[in-house]
Amino acid sequence: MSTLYYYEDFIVDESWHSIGVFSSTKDQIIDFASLYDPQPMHLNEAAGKASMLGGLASSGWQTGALLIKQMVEQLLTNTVNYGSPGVKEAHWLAPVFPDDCLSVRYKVLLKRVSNSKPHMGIIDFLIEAANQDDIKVMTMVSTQFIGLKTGGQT
Amino acid sequence: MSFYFEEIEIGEVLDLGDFKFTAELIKSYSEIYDPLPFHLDEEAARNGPFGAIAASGWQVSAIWMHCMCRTLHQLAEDRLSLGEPVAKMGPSPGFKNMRWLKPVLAGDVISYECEITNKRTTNSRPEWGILFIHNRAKNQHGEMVMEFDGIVFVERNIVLKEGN
Repeated sequence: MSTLYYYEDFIVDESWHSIGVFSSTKDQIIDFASLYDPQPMHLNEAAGKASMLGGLASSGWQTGALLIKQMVEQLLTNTVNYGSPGVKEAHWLAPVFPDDCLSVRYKVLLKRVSNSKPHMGIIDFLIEAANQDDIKVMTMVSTQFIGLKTGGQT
Repeated sequence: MSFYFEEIEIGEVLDLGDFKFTAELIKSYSEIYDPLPFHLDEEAARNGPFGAIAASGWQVSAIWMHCMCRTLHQLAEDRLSLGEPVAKMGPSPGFKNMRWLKPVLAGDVISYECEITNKRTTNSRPEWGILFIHNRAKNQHGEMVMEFDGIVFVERNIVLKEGN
């Protein structure tokens, strides 16, 4: 069993924490887009080339899903997690192409204890993904409910 | 897309139709993208924060895109059948204020809609206009489950533009 992290363990500061790398194959990009975002530039090469993206590129919704996956697998499964109320903002900054290697990192932007549920804290994480050329492809500010070590948990 | 930038009015609401979240669809997404127990396992979900298996919030939002594409595809077909030109939609730079207000549980039927809240042109990309849209999702009980403010690029119509 790995260490369990509580609200108190997260510090608001400027430090970045790496949470791994991921990539998507062309087939994975097409699979996701077929259901969630069936626009031609996510489904075929020629349409991708003709679009603003410049090639068959991943749906931004898939990149976002994969940022959240990295957060869940590398961090949130090891916290006392009560889910997420939403995403304050997200920016799609550059296209993601098949087999691009994306590195993900986060920092803690702000935190406070919930007024209505004092056993729970509310933390905003800034999450960033950059590709193998160090070009930032996506950022998002995701809010998470994380349990307190002290208070309400007795 | 289907309508050109010039044809779209602030305050217009586009009905994006319904989508049923089956347990199978929720699990197939969560297994890959959001493997937390309350999205995956019926037993764990019963004892979890929602009392039943719940969709990942991001999946509820991504299905908005599915419903948007489905609606625009239908509108484009309608226009083509009338011999009218179809405007292109560009990539989105992002969104703000995405809120997951209530869980979406297995079996829920979610209706999506999109309201045009603002529009403007840009000097840097004269062939494209920018639409600001507020998107809402409600469940079968009429309760709001998700909302966000999106931004999309829509092609401008040279003829309409020059007529203005």
